[in-house]
Amino acid sequence: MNHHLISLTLVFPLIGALLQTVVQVPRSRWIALASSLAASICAVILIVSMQNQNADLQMTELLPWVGSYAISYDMAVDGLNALLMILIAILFPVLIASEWDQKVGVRGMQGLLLVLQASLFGAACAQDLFLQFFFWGVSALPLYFLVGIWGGEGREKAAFKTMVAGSLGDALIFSALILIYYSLDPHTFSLRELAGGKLAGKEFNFLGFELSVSHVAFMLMSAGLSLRAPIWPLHGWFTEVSQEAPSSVFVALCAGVVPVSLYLFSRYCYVLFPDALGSAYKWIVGVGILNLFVGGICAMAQRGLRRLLAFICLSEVGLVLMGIGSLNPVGVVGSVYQQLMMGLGLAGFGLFSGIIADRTGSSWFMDENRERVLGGIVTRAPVVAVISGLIVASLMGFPGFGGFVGHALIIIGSYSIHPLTVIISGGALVLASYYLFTMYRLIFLGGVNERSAGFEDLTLRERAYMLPVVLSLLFFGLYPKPLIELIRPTVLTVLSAVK
Amino acid sequence: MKEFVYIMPEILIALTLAFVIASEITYEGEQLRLVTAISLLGLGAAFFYAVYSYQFGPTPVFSGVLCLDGFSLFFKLIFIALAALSIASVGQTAEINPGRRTEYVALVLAASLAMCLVSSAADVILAYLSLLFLNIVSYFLAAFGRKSLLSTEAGVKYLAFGSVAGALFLYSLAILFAYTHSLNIYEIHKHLLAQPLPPQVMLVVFMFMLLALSFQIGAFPMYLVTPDVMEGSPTPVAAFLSVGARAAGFAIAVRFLIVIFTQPGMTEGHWEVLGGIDWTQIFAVVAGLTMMVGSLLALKQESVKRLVGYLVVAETGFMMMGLLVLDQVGIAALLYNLVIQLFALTGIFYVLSFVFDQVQSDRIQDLRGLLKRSVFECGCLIAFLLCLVGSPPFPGFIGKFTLIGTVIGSGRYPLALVGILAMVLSTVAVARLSYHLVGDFKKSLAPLTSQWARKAYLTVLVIPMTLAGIFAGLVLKGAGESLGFIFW
Amino acid sequence: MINQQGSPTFLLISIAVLFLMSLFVAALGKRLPGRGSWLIWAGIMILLVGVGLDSGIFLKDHFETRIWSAGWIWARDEKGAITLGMFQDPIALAMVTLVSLVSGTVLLSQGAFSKEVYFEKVLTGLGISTAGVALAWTSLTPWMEFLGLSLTILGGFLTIGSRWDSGMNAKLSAKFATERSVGFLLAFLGACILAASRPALILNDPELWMGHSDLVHSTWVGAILLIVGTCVQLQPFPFLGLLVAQTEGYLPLRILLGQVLPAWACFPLLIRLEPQFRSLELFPSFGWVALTSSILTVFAGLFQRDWDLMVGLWLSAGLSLSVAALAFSGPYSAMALLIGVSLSAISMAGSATALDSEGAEIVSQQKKALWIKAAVFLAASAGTGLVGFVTTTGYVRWITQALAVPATAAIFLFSFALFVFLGWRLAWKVSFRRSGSKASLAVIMSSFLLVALSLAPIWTGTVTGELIQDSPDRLIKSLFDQFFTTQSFEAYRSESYFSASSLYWGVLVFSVILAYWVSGRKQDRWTQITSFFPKASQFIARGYGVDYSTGRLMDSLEWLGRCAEKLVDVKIWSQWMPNLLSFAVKNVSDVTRAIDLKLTESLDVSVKKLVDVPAKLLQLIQTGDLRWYLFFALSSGFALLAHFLKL
Repeated sequence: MNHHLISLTLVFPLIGALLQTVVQVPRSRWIALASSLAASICAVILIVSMQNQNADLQMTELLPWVGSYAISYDMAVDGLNALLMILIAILFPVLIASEWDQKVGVRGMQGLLLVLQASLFGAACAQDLFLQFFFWGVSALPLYFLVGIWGGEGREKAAFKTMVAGSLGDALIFSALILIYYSLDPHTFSLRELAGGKLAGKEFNFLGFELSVSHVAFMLMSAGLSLRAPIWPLHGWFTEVSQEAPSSVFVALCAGVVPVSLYLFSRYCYVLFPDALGSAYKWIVGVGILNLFVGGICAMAQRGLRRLLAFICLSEVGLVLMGIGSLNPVGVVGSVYQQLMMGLGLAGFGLFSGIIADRTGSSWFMDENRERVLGGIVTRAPVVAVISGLIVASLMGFPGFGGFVGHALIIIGSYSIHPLTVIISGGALVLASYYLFTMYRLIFLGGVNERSAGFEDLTLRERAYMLPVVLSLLFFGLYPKPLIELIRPTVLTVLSAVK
Repeated sequence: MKEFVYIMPEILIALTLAFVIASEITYEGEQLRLVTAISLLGLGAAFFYAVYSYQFGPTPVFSGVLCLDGFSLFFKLIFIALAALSIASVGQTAEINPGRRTEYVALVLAASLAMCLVSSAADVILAYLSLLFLNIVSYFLAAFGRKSLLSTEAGVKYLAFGSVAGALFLYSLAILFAYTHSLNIYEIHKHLLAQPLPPQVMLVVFMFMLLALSFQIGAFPMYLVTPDVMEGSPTPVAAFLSVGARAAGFAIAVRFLIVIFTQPGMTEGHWEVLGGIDWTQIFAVVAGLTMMVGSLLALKQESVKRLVGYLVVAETGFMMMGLLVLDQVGIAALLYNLVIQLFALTGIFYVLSFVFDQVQSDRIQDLRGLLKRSVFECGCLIAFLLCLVGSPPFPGFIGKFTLIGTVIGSGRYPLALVGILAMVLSTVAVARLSYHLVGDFKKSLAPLTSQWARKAYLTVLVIPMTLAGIFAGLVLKGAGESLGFIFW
Repeated sequence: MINQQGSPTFLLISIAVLFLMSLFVAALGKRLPGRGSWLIWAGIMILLVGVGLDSGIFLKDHFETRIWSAGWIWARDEKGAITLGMFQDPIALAMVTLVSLVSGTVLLSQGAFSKEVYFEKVLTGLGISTAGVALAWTSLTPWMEFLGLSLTILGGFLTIGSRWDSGMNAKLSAKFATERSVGFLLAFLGACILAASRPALILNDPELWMGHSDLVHSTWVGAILLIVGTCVQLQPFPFLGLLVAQTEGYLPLRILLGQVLPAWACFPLLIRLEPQFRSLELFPSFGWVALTSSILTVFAGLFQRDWDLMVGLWLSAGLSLSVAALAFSGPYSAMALLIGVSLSAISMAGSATALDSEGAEIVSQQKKALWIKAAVFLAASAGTGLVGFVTTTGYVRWITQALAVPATAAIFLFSFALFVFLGWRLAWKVSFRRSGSKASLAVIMSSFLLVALSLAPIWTGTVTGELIQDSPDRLIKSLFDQFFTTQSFEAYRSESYFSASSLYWGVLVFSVILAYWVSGRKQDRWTQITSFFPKASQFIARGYGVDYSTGRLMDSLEWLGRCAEKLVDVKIWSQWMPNLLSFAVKNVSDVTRAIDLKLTESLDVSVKKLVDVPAKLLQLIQTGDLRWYLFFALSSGFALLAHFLKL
């Protein structure tokens, strides 16, 4: 029978977004927050009411949409995307609250954030390839306008690059989608029928060559997704956006869109192309390690919080890819768990860099010849220091925080591929501890200078929206058992198909 | 007399035309409101009667001259809706000076009458006559802005090209008549099945007909005139022509090409090429060229109307793809796209005419930063453009997807590749336009006056478009069935 | 016999209470009466009560070790298990009592540091570190121990740079945090490797590893990482940077929270896994590493001018010595050294800071100074293992076992002599200090109490610390025998014990006299010797230039990062990619024109590059001339017709 919770999580934000065009400013902010919160509460109820011992898709909603092309409105939640729902549920109300007193067109920005929330919920839950691509395509539009209108000086160029990378990525996924649709005899888009390697044997000829559908489609899909999630050589647009976009928009990108693209990649790998994965997992781990290490090295050279966040996101993506490619239960569960933790950690980091940028005018903590620009904020604003200390500890994988659980599981899992991966990821973690502590010292400790003199502590509103992020980091770090129980059965069944 | 009940929609339109002319001559007071009221009433009656006459089933009228079937009714609904939309919006544009607005309404009604005749013509002579009648009315419409030189130039060019195309069309029909000695296209089909023409002659006939029809729909060889007409003629006329004339062209193209040049294939709803020559190859080449030409030139334009003109040419290329696969799914996709373009193009030109009234120039540079000044209108403009070009969230995407899907289904991968490339290029063209519209959002500019009438009109356009998107399955199925009715 | 108990013990509850109280002090310290020090007192007392209750239950169950464990992240029985667990055996209970007593006594002398600007921050550090050590000692699995270790790192971080608003302190606390977290990460990696290659890593059942002989390679790598990671917490030789740097703040607290408590938090892992490491032959070999690092640290201490830094280096050398003892002779002597050296270092630092120059004339202050100097000498003898202290048993046992191989015994005796020499040099230098002291009675009492805690009778039950063979002076049963099964030591006891203890006595007395002869008198001969080669002594005193080289390494990594970023972000994305695209699409003439345009062009130019040639061609056709339109249309139609007619 059809549950309607998932559709509610989509409907509420869209209603909120529509109302933004009608209602005037003071009330429109409350409506935006209310609708986003309503969707998040539905998502949390959805996850809580899932039984955690069965591996198949739960809370399904199946309605025929375009009958003649076998496209159906098929929404469901299982172990792989449950955690993403929690991440999106926590992230977007926080972002809307953080954009509360935006002077220029607050209605437009909050409306676009609501549309982004709905499209990410849709992309996470859709079990029909066409529907998934539909929501994934929609998620690129709000970002273009958010960066293009509310960004810094070079915002048009950054927005254009995002749009080019986004539409190129979507075009690649679109062609792979069509290839899959037409290669199976009863043409279907539904992931349920395509699951379990049905595409294994299929061939198709293109200008005379006999190519295997699953390999070509896998190549196209991963190329398309690696344009949307920052993979090292293709990440030029990502660092450009990190410099130009307002902080909450960049948080929406690196803590919302990137984990969803990683989830989509893991869904396609395990469900659609298990046979292609059998030969390609070494490549995935290789790209992951490259990302992890280069992200760490480049982060060491950063002088601004924004680009530092971009490169931290790059190395977190590398870590999750290592987990996905490890193909053993511990590693894969670790990668699914790290997607949630990465989202929360990066959101926390992005928000506190936004707070610092608002109060001191810019988010640079070192000038050209690597001298201190800020400093001594711990005495002025102890609460900010404590909160950012917790977030830095979680990003570094200190025990007691979510990061630790993710890091431990992925490192244990990736050991089975090759012991060297553990050493390299260890090296990257050491690098991370170095540049995170230097950043912390340069901003919070040491003497006060003129820029950080007038730094007053968090207002009540800012504490309100930082609290959920920090609390969830702590809670999921200290008591990860229920979530791990939720993920394990799905991962075990999915991995048995891959072997 | 009994058969008049079948062509009741055309009769109702003719009556409203007569009433409008009469009221224009006799009534001195505020003519426009009276005239629009009468015409909307008449068009509404014609619309409901057309929906009512669906249950008659496919019947030849006046011994085979006209044929009343699902296909022609589908097009009649489109034309009547288009006429109603353009008449409703005539009050709000400054490009048509108030004095001559009633004359404009009369011309629109005459054109819609011609289009209904074109879509149901099954007789060669009637098809030619109604096509020329439509073109003549369009020359007047194109040349409507008497004071502006561009408008008269557009009208003259449209006249010259139209007459050449008409001549070619007549020539091909003459050859057919010479061989088959019958005027009704279905008898011609039976004769051709019995003893087919020699392949060379069949190809010549096809080529001439293709040239004539490509003028009407704006395909590759004869596309040159469409952008000039779009830019020159007043904006509401451009809207009317870009949707109406092209839809009529497609109506004749589908009916004549399917009936004359193909034979029913093995599977139901699929057709085979008649006579040795595989003319779909020519069609594919022409479609590919049209798409590339339209999208490439759309990138280069400085004037917004020319840019939309070229986008329309590109869309024609896409829709020709639906026709050349020769099966019901393809043509259903073509019809679905026509419905989407009806709303998208009317909306685009409506907002453009409002914008040109405020900014007095249609250069892209002059439209910088307009989004800030009128958020709702420019937002709708960008939405309609994205829907026309077929980017994901809008129903146009489903139209494009079905077209490219049918082409890939029939194994023509290179054409599909050209299609996807053209789609990306036209998206970039729209992105370029919206990039200018966004402009530097932070600079505070005087907001433009936004009347509720304009908002109402735009919502009237947006609602059916989104419904066509959400219930795409139903619309596609309806279009598919309407083909089935063609009287064989 | 391990009995599986369901409910967490009193100890766990008391640890949690202490942790929460210290957080409470951190949050609202300023507004509390007495700035929250009594709260920390209460927390430590609760910890003591918790330990007392649990050891009561422990004695009632006649010495069964009690376990409480729950699957934390991954189920216990599967590979890669990450479980939590409490585990109480005699050594755990004893050490938790010791740590709470030590923290209590140091807190006793709070009068000396209560005028610090950030008094409540220091108190929080003390509370958190004590809880961390208690948690570490009672943890069943390395993951729980890492929790305890990270708490001590946090405590140390809070107190090292007590005055955070001074640049120097900020740099030092960040350095402390980075070094200790690097050590923690290495240990964490080792534990992950071990967890990945075998079932749940339980600390207290030694035979768990024996079964997996096939995976020797991975165990070897994991174990090495684990040892190195934990030893980094002791601030050994390569990490001397922090010890030689000037820091403000109350010295005993800096020593306690910066060095002693983190060392005590990481030692349980080494003690519990000692049989496993020995089975992998890791231990005797690793002992040489620890011994050399202790010798080098002692040398750095000897060449040091500043007394405060010298005592830090002496403590670090002592800790490395205890690790060497663990590797060579076993947990017995290692624990003895660890306890003795740490307590003596803290009490010596406490009494040294209590002495100050003015007020030498007031009689009462002179009497106090005399008492403090007596405490300093007592502490020095406790640290270097003079008769009657727990360190004596440690040294004697180590020498008896080392005598089996004369070469190792010689090296060990040499390092022991150096260590004693530095210890007594410290004591003599303090005695020449000003002979006045305004310290309160509590401060003096705490110095004496600390030394008393390391007396031999408490730990070994004998008065002289088992100096004489089969210890005639035994008063009560030895606590250490409860901790460790000492059957391995019986083999050495009989023949080489007497010679070992006499050798030990000889070397000890010789180095004490040498220390007195060198620095006991007015002018310090040792400083004269070192002034012959000032540059070398400066180099050694500054920690062998390790900091300089790590700094260079980090700068080179940053340079690498900068050019990697410049290569990709600037070069590839914003310069090479558009050029490639435009050249591919356009012919050379357009390329030359495009190149002169500045590359940061707006959207139109980049689109133009993409589609310029075909669009320009098509634009030519669109001349606007009607005749040309007709001509073009008809000719292309006929061209198509001609082409297809050929078929």
